[in-house]
Amino acid sequence: MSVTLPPRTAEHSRPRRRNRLLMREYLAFYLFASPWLIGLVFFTIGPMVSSLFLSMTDYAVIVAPKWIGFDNYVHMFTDDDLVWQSLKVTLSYSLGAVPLTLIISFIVALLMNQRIRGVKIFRTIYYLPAVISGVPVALLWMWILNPDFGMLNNALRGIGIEGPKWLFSTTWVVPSFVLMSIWGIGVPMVTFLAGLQGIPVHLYEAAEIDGAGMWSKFRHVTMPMMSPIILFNIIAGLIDSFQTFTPAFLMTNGGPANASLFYGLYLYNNAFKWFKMGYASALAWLMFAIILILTGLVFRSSIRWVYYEGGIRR
Amino acid sequence: MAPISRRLFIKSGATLVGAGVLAACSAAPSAPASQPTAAPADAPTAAPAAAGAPVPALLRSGDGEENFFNQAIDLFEKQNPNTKINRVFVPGGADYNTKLDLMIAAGDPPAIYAPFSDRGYRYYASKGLSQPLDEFVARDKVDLTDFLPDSMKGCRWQGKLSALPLDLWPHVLFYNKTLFKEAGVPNLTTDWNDASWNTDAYLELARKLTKKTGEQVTQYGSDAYFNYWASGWIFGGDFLPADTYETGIVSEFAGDTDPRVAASVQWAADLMLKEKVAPTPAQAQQVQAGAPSLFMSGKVAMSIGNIGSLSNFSKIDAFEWGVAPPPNPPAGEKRHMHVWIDFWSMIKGVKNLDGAWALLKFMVSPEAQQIYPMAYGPLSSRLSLGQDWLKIQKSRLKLSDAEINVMVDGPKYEQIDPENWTVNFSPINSQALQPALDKVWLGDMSAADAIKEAAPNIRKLIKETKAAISG
Repeated sequence: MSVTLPPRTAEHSRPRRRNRLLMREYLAFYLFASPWLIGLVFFTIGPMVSSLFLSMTDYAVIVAPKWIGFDNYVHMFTDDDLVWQSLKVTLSYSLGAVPLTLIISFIVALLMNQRIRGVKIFRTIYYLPAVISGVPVALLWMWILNPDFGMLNNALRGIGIEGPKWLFSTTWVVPSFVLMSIWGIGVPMVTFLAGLQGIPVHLYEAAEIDGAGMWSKFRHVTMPMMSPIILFNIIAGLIDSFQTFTPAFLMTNGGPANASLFYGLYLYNNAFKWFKMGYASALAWLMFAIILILTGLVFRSSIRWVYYEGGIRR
Repeated sequence: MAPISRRLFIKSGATLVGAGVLAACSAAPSAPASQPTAAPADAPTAAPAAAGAPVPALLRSGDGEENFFNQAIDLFEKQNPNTKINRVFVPGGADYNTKLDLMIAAGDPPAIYAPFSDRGYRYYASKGLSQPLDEFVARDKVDLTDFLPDSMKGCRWQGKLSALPLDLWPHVLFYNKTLFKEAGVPNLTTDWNDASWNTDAYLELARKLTKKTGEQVTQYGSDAYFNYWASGWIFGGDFLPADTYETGIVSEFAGDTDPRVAASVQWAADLMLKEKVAPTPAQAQQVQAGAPSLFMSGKVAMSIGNIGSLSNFSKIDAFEWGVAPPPNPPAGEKRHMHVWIDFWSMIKGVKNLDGAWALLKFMVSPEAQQIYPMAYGPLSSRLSLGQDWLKIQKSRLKLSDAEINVMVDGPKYEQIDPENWTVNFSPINSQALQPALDKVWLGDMSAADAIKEAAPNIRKLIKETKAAISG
C-alpha cells in the first residue's frame, strides 16, 4: 500500500528537520567533548597563556611579578652561557639517543615479528625494562656505568679495553645517557611491531612473484609501509629527548662541570631551586619553540619519505 | 522501566555538566590567594585583629624529627592553652622551600619557619618579607647573650634582628679507632688548640692507614674531605670576603686573590688523585656498597662531617670510633671550618603575630631546646646547654667526655657558612663555583687554573645577583 503525503508539508519540513538534526549533532559533539575542552582551556591553554605572561616578568613566587618586557629573552640569548651549554648537551643527547633507540627498537621489532616458538616470551622480556623507569633505573645504571667495578667496564676489560669514566667524565657523561636510552626501546618496539603486523601479506607475496629477495622486500615493502610509524617514533623520541630530566637529576645533577646540564634540568633549577619563575617560563617557551620547529622540519621532510597507503598527506 | 531516549540522555548530561561547572566556579575559596605586593609594617603593634587565631608552624619531617617538634609544641600548648599551633610538616630542602613560598604566595604564611636548607631567612628578608624581632625582644627582655655570638651576627639583616638561632651542627673529624689500633697509630687529640695536629700530620696518617692488595686499595686513610666550596677553607682562606657573613650578600670574589684557597682545594683533590689515600666518587660508591655512609663501611679511617651523623654512628657495633677536631692548616695558620646553623624566623603579615612570637620565643628557650634540638641530635644554639647535651650524648655514645666536648666546643672555633646565611651564594655556587671545582676533582685542571678560569663568570653572577637583591 502506498501512502501519499501532502507535498507542501513534506517540502517545508525537510530543511527544518535537517537543521534540528544538525543542531543535535553539534550539541552532542560539544557535550561529549566538553570534559576534554574544559581540561584543555583550564589545564593547558590557561597555564600556557599564564606562562607566556610570566616569561615577561621578574617573578620569584613570593612577591608579585614585575613586568620587564623581553628582558628575560634578551638575557637568555645574550648573557647566559648555561642556556647554550644546556642546549648543546640536550641536542647532542638527542642526536645520539633518538637514532640509536629507533634503529635498535626497529631491529628488535623485526626479530620479534618472526614466527618462532616462544616469541611472546621474548616480546615480554624486551618490553619489560620500559615498565621499570625513574629512580630504580637510574640507580641500576649508576652501578653498570661505574668506571672501577661496573658491569660495562668489567666486560670491556675482559676484551682488553680500559673503559672510560662514563658518568665521572665531562667527555663521556652524555654518551653514557645515550647508552642508557637503549633501556627505553620497549615502547617504540611495540609500535613498530604493531605496524609490522599490519602489513598485508599479499604485498610480500606479490613482491616474491616479481622475484624480490629478502632485502628487496624489506626495502620496497616493509620500509614504505612502516614509514608513518617511523615518523611517529622520530617525533615522539625527539620530544621525549628534549624533555630529558630524571636521569640527569638523579645521577649527575648536571655535573660534572655542567657537562650533563640538560635543558630540562636547567629549567627546573631556575624554577624550583632559584625560584626565578619568570626566567624559567621564558626558558620553557624557548624549549617549546625549538621542539615545534624541529617537529615541523621532520613533518616537512616526511613528504619525501613517508608513504601513506590511503594517499599523500600534506 | 522505559529506556532513556537520546534526547533525555543529552539533556540530563548537559544539566549535570552545567551544574558541575557552576559548582566548581562557585566553590572558589572566599579568601583568594594574595600576592604580597608591598611589605607589611614591621612593628609588633601592627598585629592584625586575628590575635588568638591558630598559629601555623612550618616544620621539617623525616628521620623521626616530627616526634621532637611535636613534644616541644605539645608543651607550648600546655603552657599556652589559648594558642593553638597548626603543625605543617614538610621534608627538608627544596620541598620545604617550595611549601614556604607557596604559603607566602597564597597569603597565608607560616608564623614561624626554619628552612633547614641552603636558603636562609635572609632570602626572604631581602624581599622585605622578614618580620623584625627587635621590638619583641626588647618588650619581653629576651637575653641574647647565651646564643653563639657568630650566629647572632648572622641573625641580623641590615641592622634589624630578624631571626634567632635554633641549633648548631659543628664539623668534626670522626675516626675509626679499630683501624688506628691495627696500624699501631695512637688516638687523635681532643684539643682544638693543638697546633701539631695539622693537615701535614693528617696526610701522613692517611698514608699510614691506607692499605692496598696489589693495585686495589682495600682500606682508605681518609674520605674525600670536602669536595665542595668548604675545600677552599681548609688552609684558612675563603672564596668570599669576611664581611659577607655579616651583610648576607656576596659582594666580591676572593678565591683567585687568596692563594690559600687554591692551595687547599688542590690539597683536598690530591688526597684522591695524587696520594690515593681517599676514594674518588666512583670508588666511594664501591666502598660504601649498602652502608648508610662511607665511614660506616669500616673501610675509611678518617672522615670529616657534621654531627648530624651521630644518630647513625651510634648504631656502629663493628668497630670502635672516636671524635677529634679537624686538623689545622700547615705553618701555624688558623683553622677555618664551618658550623651549620638553623634558625627560627617569621614572615611579615602572619595572622597572629603575638602568638607567632610567643611560639618562636618558646622554641629558643632552654626548656624547648632540651627537647628540640638536643634530644633529637644537634647542639642547642644556647652555649649554656652544652654540658646538658654532653650528658644526653654520653648515655647514647661510647665516647669519652673529652671527645663529646670536641663537639660541644666546635662552634666556638668554627664560623657560619655562606650557603644558608647569604642571599646569593647558592645560585653562584651551583652555576659557576661548583662546576669549576668539579674539574679539579676529575683531575682535568689544577685548582689554581680552574678557579682562575671561573673567576670572571663568578664575578658576573655576583654582579647580577646583587643587582637583583637591590631590585
